[in-house]
Amino acid sequence: MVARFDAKLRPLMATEAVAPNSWRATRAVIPISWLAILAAPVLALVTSGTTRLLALAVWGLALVLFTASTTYLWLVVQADTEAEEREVQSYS
Amino acid sequence: MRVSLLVVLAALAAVVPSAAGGFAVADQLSAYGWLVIDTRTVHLVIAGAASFFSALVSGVGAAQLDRVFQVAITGRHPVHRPVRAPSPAFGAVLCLFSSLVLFLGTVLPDQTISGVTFTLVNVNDPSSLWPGVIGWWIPIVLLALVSAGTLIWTATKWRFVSGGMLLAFGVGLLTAFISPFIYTPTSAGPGGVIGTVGGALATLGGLLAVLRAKPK
Repeated sequence: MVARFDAKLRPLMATEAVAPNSWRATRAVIPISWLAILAAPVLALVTSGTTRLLALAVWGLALVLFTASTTYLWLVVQADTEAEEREVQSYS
Repeated sequence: MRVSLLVVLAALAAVVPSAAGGFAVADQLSAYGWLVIDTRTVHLVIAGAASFFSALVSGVGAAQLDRVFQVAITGRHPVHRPVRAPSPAFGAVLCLFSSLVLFLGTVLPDQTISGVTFTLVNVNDPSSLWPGVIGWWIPIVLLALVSAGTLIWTATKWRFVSGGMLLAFGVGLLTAFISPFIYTPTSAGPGGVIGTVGGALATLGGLLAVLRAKPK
């Protein structure tokens, strides 16, 4: 499924002039940050001191990264949708 | 916004871990002495807020991913299918629900229902007015009223896309039910969380309704 996702979405990213490295980074950040959203707060509760602070920092960072990366992907698809709609309107 | 199983599961999955994180944040702030009002209620409110916010981030992110997946897998862009606009009575019912949970959570003194004591504000004890009433109850009531008003106004002008509201409703309701059981109910226990979640639920529903509405 990941390969299919990659194969379908990579050309779309190319049309939006997204650098391949950005695409790869986005694709990796989403699952990692989401897992961190689930694991880091629990770790923060069961630890103390520096480890707890580190876990809380990771949690905050994961929330920001997950939001940013999913929004970034969504905006790219949104832009493509609008471009497609403009193209259809220009024909009619 | 189309709500799929992916979105609901992603939002629900974040509720409990984030509540744990909220307690950790509250403990840490307490250890530093940064909590001006350091009570169990405040800890509960922080945990509830963290849980709600994290579920929102997770759910909205999953909704965005869902749309991207649709394009990637099917090769077609998803089509917005606006649903029939709810009547203004929907906003009123939402407001009534918020008011009811606020009432149960904050006004009833020392009432125990199904083993859970609803005693956040003792009306006979003026010292409990802060932070119970002034601190967060009034702002939450105001938010709920603004939210309901927004819903009613929106319903007269716009067509709702109901997915966002359903998500807010589901996550909020689950949080309200789970929160009392993840922390020992005390005299300043679950009522605050239920009241907070009820108000936040209505507010979020109203905001999402406006953000995702389409012209009639």
